[in-house]
Amino acid sequence: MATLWSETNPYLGEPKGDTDFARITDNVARVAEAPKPPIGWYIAFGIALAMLTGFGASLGWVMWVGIGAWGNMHPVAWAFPIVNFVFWVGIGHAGTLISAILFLLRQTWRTAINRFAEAMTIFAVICAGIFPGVHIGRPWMPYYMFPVPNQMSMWPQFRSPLEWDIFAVGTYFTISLLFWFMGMIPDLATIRDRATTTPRRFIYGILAMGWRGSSRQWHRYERAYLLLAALATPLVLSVHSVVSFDFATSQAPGWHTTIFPPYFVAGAIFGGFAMVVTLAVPARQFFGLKRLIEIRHLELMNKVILATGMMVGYAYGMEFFIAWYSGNPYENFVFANRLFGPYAWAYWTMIACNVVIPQLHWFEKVRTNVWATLAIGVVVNVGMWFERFVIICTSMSRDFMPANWGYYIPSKIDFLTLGGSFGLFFTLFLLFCRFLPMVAIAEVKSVHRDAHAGHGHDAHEHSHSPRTA
Amino acid sequence: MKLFVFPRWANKTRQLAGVFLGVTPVYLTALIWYGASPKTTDVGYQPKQPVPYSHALHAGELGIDCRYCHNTVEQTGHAAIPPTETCMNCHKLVHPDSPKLLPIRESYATNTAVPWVKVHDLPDYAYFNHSAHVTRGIGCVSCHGRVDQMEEVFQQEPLSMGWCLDCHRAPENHLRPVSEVTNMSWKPPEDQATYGKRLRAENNIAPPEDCSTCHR
Amino acid sequence: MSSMNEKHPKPTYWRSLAELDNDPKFQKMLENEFAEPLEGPDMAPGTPARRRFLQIMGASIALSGCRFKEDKLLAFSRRPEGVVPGESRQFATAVELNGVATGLLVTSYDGRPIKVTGNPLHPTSAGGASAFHQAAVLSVYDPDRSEGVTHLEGRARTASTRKKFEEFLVSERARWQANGSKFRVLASVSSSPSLASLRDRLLASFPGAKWVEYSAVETDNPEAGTALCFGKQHRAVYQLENARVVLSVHSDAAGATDPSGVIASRGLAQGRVPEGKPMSRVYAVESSLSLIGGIADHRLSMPACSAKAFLAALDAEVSKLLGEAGKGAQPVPSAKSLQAPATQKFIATLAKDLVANRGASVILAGNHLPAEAHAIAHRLNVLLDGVGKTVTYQELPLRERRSEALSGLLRDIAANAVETLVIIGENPVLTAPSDADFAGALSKVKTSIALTEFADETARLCTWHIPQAHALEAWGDGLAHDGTLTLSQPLIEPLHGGLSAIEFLALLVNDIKRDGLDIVRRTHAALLPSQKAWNKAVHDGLLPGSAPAPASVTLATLPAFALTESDLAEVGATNGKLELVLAADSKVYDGRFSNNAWLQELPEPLTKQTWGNAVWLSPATAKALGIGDGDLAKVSVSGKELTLPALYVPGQAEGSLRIPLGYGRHFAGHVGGHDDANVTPVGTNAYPLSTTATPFVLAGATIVRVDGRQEIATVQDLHAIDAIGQQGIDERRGLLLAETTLEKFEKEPDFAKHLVHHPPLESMWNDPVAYEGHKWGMAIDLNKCTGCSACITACQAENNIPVVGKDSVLMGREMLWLRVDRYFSGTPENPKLSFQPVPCQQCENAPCEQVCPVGATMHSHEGLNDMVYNRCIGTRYCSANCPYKVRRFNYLNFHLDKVEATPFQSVKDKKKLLMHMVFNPEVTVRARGVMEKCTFCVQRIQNVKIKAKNAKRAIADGEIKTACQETCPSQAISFGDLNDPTSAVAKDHALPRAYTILEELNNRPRVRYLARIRNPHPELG
Repeated sequence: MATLWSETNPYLGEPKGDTDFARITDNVARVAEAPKPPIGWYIAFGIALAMLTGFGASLGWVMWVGIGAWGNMHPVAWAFPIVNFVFWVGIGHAGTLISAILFLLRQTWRTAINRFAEAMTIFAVICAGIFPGVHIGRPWMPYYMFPVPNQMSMWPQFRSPLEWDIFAVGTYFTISLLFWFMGMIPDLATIRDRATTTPRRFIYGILAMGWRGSSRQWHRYERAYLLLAALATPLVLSVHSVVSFDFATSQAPGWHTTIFPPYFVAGAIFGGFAMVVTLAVPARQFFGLKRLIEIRHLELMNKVILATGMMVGYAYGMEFFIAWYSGNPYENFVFANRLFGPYAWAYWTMIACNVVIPQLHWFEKVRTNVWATLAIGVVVNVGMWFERFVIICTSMSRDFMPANWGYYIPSKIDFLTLGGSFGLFFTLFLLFCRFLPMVAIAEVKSVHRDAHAGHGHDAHEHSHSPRTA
Repeated sequence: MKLFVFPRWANKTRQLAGVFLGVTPVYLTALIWYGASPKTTDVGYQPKQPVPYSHALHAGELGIDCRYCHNTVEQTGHAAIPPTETCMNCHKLVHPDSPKLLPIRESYATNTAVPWVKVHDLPDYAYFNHSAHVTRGIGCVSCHGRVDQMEEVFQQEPLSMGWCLDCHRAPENHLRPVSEVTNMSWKPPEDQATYGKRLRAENNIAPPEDCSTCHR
Repeated sequence: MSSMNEKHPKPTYWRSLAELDNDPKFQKMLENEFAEPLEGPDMAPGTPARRRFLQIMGASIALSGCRFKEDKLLAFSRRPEGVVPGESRQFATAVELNGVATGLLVTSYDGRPIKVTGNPLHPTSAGGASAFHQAAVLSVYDPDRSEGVTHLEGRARTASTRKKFEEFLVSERARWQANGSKFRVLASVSSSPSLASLRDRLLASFPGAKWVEYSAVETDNPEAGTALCFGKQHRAVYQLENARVVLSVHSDAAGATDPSGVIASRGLAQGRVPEGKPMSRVYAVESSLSLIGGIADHRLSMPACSAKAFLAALDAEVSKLLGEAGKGAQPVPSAKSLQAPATQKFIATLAKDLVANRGASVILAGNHLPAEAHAIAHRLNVLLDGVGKTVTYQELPLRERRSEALSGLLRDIAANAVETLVIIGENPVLTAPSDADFAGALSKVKTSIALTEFADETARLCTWHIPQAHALEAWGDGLAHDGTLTLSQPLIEPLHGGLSAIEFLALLVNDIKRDGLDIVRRTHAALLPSQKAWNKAVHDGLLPGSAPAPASVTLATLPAFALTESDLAEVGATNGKLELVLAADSKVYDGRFSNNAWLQELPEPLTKQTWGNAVWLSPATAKALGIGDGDLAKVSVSGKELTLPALYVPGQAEGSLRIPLGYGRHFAGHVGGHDDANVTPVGTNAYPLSTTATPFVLAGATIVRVDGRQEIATVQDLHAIDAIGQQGIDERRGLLLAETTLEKFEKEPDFAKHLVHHPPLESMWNDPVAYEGHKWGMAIDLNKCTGCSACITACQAENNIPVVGKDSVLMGREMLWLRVDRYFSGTPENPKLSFQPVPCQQCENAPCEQVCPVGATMHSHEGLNDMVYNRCIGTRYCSANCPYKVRRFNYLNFHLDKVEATPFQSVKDKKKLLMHMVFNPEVTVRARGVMEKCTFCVQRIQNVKIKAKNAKRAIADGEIKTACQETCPSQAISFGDLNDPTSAVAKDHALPRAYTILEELNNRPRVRYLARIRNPHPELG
C-alpha cells in the first residue's frame, strides 16, 4: 500500500524538523495540513460515502413501508438491527479502555493509538445509537421513551432494560465525546499555530478554544483529563453490562444468563481492539505514521486481543456448562441447537473467528506482522458480529413452544443497512483522518525520552508536561 | 500572517454559555409543556356550524333539558346528536319559515343529515362512555362547560388523557347527585370535596385507571 | 337478542352501493366517532385524524396553533324506532350448506352485520358456529361480488339491467309455459320449503321442465344407503351425546364441511368428560386424519377403498357376537388389506366394544363411501339398538340420485334437448367432473342464466348473469339437520341489488309475490298464521317443535354385497397402486369460499396450511417414492394429470393420496385468484381429476416427483424440523400438553400438576395488584377441543385482525391472535393427534409488562395484560420476552395495504372501503409498527361491566363470553370471574387435571388447560 502510493502520497517521506519533537509534530500535523490528500483517500472516501448513501436509502425505505422491509419475523422479532446495535456499541469500548483505563494504569504506549481509538469510539457509538431509534415499529415517536412532560401524564417504564440502555449509551457517548475533544485541544492549537491560511486559522482557532499552553492551562488540562478518565473508566464496564441486561434479564433460553455482563464486556474489548488494529495498520502505512505507531504497539494490542479472545472463549464454554448444570431442558436445547441446529453455520463461524484464529497470536512472527495483524483483526470483527447474531437470532428462532419455531432469513434491506452502517463509520473516520490530528502529539512527546526531566526544556513549547513519571 | 485571536468579548463566552445552558432547557420544556398541550391546541375550538343553533337560547333561556335532544346519554356510550325530527317537533310551529332553519327543513324534507361539525372530538382509540359517567353523577358541565351560556358551542376543557386521569384519580371534585347531572348551574350544598367524598362513598364510585378502561 | 320491531329494520339498511357514497349514514361511518375503523387513513393507533399530522411531521410539529381535520356528525333525519346510534344489536338468521340450515345470531352495528355467532336455540348450532359461518360477514362486504346483471351478446359481455332481463323473461316465459321440456334448472341442494314450493310452481307452469339438484362435493350415498336398508330414503340424525362408543369410518362428521358438523362436535365433546359420568370411547378408521380421528382413542389408517370390506368384516363379526349371523350379515371378506393381525385384532375388539355398549354405540360412515357401505353402517346401527338412542331416521321424499340427474342433464344437452338452463348458486363449470365437460355443454345451450354471487367460471359463460344476494342479505327459510323449520332474515339490504334464489324463481315464474319476505310468509302461512307467531319465529330464528317425528324403520335383509376389485384393491407405495381421495376443503368448501381472505388464511386444522392446497401423502409413501415435503409432484389418474406440491401428513393411510378440492380458481376474485385482474389462483384445482363415475375416491392413481419445489405456507413447522429440533419437540411435548389415559387419570387425577419439577416459585416483585373485584380467567379443555379452528376466525372477526397474505405467512408474519397448536405423537404411520389453543395467557406476573420501555402493556386491576396500541412504539421486546409467543407485530400496514392506501394517502377506490365495513368499531384497528395480542375480548368485558354498573347489578357468570368461547362448537373454552367460586371457569380451574403451561417460569398464567384424557380399550392398549 505504502509503496503503491509513495509517488502521490505527500504523507510519506521524512517529516521536517530539527528536533524529534518538531518531527513528531510535523509527522502528525502535515496529514491535516496537506492541501490535497492522495487519490487513495478519495477512493476510500467515495466508497464509504456510497455505502453511507445505501444506509440512508435503506433506512428511508424502512421508514416508508415499515419494519417489514427487514427480514424480522415471528418469533425472531429482534434481528439484524439489534445485532448491529450491540456490535457497534461493543466496538466503542476499546477506545475508552485505551484512553481511560490504560491511562490510569500509566500504560505509556497507549499514547500512540489513543487518539484515533477514541475517535473510533465516538463514531462506533454514533452508528450504534442510530439502530435503537430506527428499529422500532413507529420510529416517529421514540420520544415516548424519554421522561419528558406530556399531556398523557405518563412516564416511561423504568423497569425496562431498554430504558436503561438509553441512559447508559447516552452517558457513554457524552463522556467519550468530551474526553476525545478535550484531549485534542493542545494538538488543535498546534495545528492552528502551523496554519497558513485564514480559514484554517479561524476554524482550528475556534476548536483550540484559545489554548496557549501556559503551565496553568496545562495544569488544568491534566486535572480535567484525569477526572474524565476516572469518569470514563466505570463506563467501559457499565455500558456493555447494561446492554447485556437486555438479554440477561429476559426469560428467553439462551438469553437468561448471569454471565452476560462480564462476557459482553470482554467481548466488547476484544472486538474493539480488533477494530483498532484494523484501522491502525492501514492508517500507519498510508499516513506514514510508522514512526509513531510502532510494531511494538500493534504487538501489545494483539496480546490484548489474544487475552480477551480467550476470555470470550471461556464464556462460550461456561454457557454450555451452566446450561447442562442447570438441568433446564429448554436451556439445554438452545445450546444443542446452536451446535447442531439450523444456525450451526453461524455458531461455528463465530467459534472459528473468535476462539480459534486469534490463537495465532501466540506466535511472535504473527503478532508482529502487520498484515497478519490486520487479517486477524478483520476476522475477529466478523466473529464478534456473528456472536451477537448467534445470541439473538439463534436463541429466538427456537424458544419454549415448538409451535412458534421459525427460521429467520434476512432481507436485502437488512444487508444494505448493515453495510451502510460501516459506510457511516468509515466516512466519519476518513474525515477525522483528513482534518484532525490522528495521534496525540503532545502525549506522544510527553513519553518521548527528550521529555524526561534533565534536558530539552525549551525544546518545544508544549514539551514540559508534568506527566512523565 | 497573524494568529487567530479570540476577540475580547469572547471572554464572556463562559458566562453566556452558562446562561444559555441554563435557559434553553427551561424554555424548551415550557414551549412543549404549554405549546403542545391540548390546553393550547384544543381548548376554545369553536367551529362554524351549518345552523347557528344556540345552546344559550335553547338550554339556557328556554331551559330545555340536555336529555331532550341528547336522549341516549344515560343508556349508551354516545350522547347521540338528535335527529332532525327532534328540531322539527317545535320548529314546525316556531319560526316555521326562518331562513336560518333552511338546512333543517331541507334535511327533514330530503331525509338527509345536517352536517353538524364535531366539537368535542376524542382520538379514535379512546373509548369514552357517556352513560358510565352520567349515571355516576358526573355533570355535563364538568366536561362540556357552561353550554347553556354558549351561543355557539366551543371546547371548554382540554379533554387530554392527563385531564381525564385527574378526575379518575379524584372524582370527588366533580361528583354531584345523579338527579343534577344536567343542571348547569348546580352548586354543591357544602364544600365540594367533602360533599363529593360522601357521594363517592354512598355510590361506591371507584373509577378505574387501567389502560383498558379507555383503550381497547 | 333483537327486539320486536326488527321485522322491518329497513331504515338501517343501505339501499345500494351507489348510494353509499352520499348516504348520510355511510358518511357518518366514514367520518364520525362511532366508526373509527372506516377512516382509512386514520387507522393507526395513536394517529386518529387529528393526530395524523404528527405522524408525518414527527412530534416537533405538535405545537400550538395547528388545527386538525374537521369531523362531521351526521345524525339521522328521522331516527328509526329502537335504533340507538353506536349500539350493536343481534338478529337471528340462518345460512344453509348442502341442504342443512344452521341458525345464527348476527351482530349488527349501525346497520352493518359485523359478527356472527351460533343461535343457542337452534338444534344444528346450539350456540356454536363453524369457521364458514364466522367468515360469512366478510363475504357480504366482498368488493368482488357482482354488481349488476350482465348479458352475453355474441362474444361480448355487456352490462345490462334487471329491467332488460325482465323484458327478456316476458318474451321467453310464454314459450316455456307453452312447452318447458327444453327448460332445465340446476340448483344447489336446499331444504328451503319456500324454494321447494316455487320449484313445484315452476315445474307446474313450465310443463316438461326438469329440476336438477347439484352438489359439487357431497354425494347422496347416505340416503341411498338407507334406501337399501329400509326400502325408503331416510336422513340419519345422530345423537352423539348419547353414545358410549363412537366409530367413525372415513367420516368427517365433526368438520366444518359437514353441514351438521357443529352439533356433531358438541355431542362428541359431551361424551369426553372424564369427571363424573363415564367417558365415551371413539374409534376412527380413515384414510386421512380427520377431526374425529384427532380426538379418537383408537385410530386405524386404512385406504378409503377398503372401507366397504372393513364394514363387511365388522358386520360379520358383530352379527356373530349378536348371534345374528346369517340374517343378512355380510360374509367375511377376503380382502388382503384386512388380514394384518393388528387390523384383525382391531376389528375383533371394536366389535366386542360395540356389542358391549349396545344401545349406546353409533357408527358414522363417510359421505364419500359407496351406498353399500352406508347400508352396512345403518344396519349395524339398527342391530346395535342405536335407533332412537344414538341415531334417529327421518323419511325423505323419493328423489332421483343426484349423480344420475346430472348425467341425465348432460345427456339431454348433448342431444340438444335443452334450450334454457338456469343455474342457481352453483359453479358447475369449475366443480363438475372433467368428463362431464360442463363448459362445453353450456356452449350448446341457447339461453343460460346464472344466479350467482360472483361472475365466476360458470356465470361468465352464461348468456345472463344475475347477481345473487348473500344469505345475510335475504329473507329465507330452511330445515335444520333434524328438520326443524328455520327462518332467516336480512341483516342489510343487498349491497349490489342481488336477488335471493326464491326471489329469482318468483321472477321466473312471474309469481304475484316477488319480495322474499312475502314469499317466505306465504310458505308458512299455515304454520305461522298470526303476526305474533311470525314475529316470534323471526326473532328466535326458528319454529320450535317443527321437527318431524322420527320414522320407525324396519331393517330389510341386505344382500351380500359383492366386493369389486377396486374395493379389494391393495394400495401401497410398494406395488405402485395408489388411491386418490378428493374431498371438500375445510376452508373453501367446494371453492365457493375461495375469495374469502379469512378462510384462505385460516390454518387448515390438521396440516396448518394456509393459502392453498397440496397433495397429502404419508411420509412412508412419499419416501418410498422419493418425494420430499414441498416437492412438486405429478398426480395422474385415468389419463389425467395434475402437478402440485406434496405435503407430508402423518396418519395418511399408506398408499392413499388426498387432495382438497376448491382451489386453483381462475375467476374467483382478488383473493382467490382472477385471470382478468392478474391475480394468480390460490392452490391447484383438483376437480379435473374426478370423474362422474367415481367423483371422490379414485383407484389406480400414480404420483411422481417433478422438478421444482413450492413453499407451503404453513403456520407451524414452516421450515422442516431437523433431527435436533424433533428431539426438542419430543422432549417438551409432554410438558406443554398434559396427556394420560383414563385408567391412569383415575389413579392420579392431578398428574398434570406434577409434570414439571421446579423450585418454589418466588417473584422479584411484590404483586402490584390484589385483584379485588373481578379476576378474569379462562380454561380450555383439551379433551373437548377438536382443533376445528372456528375460534381463530371468530377472533379475527371480533378483533379486526388483519389478513397478511401468503408471502407474509411464508415469512412467519401471520397475525392471528389465537393459535391452535397441533402436535403429533406416536409413529408417523399411526400418530396420536393433540391440539392446544394458545391465546394470550394473561400472566399475573407477566414478562411482557416488565420489559416495555414505554409502558404500552400494563397490568389491569382485574388481571388483564392491557395492550395499548396507541402507546406502543414497537420495540418488540415484549414479544421477545413472551415464552408463549402469543404477541403479533404489524410488520407492514396490512389493513391499509389491502385497500391500497397508506397512512399518508387515503383510499382512492371507495368500493374497496366496503371491506372496512366489517370492522368491529369496539376495537381499535391497528396500523403498522405496533404490537398486538389477545385481550380476552376486553371490549366485551368493558361493555358488560358498564351496562351492569349503570343498572347497579352484578355481572352474571357467562354474561361475558369471549369470541372464541362463544363460537366453540364443542364448548371447550370457559371464561369468567375467578373471584366467583361458583363461576364455570373457577370450577374448571379447580379441577385436578387443570394445569398451566410453562408453570416453572412463574408467570402465573390466567389460562389453565384441562389435561387431555384418552380412553383406550384395555385390549388394544
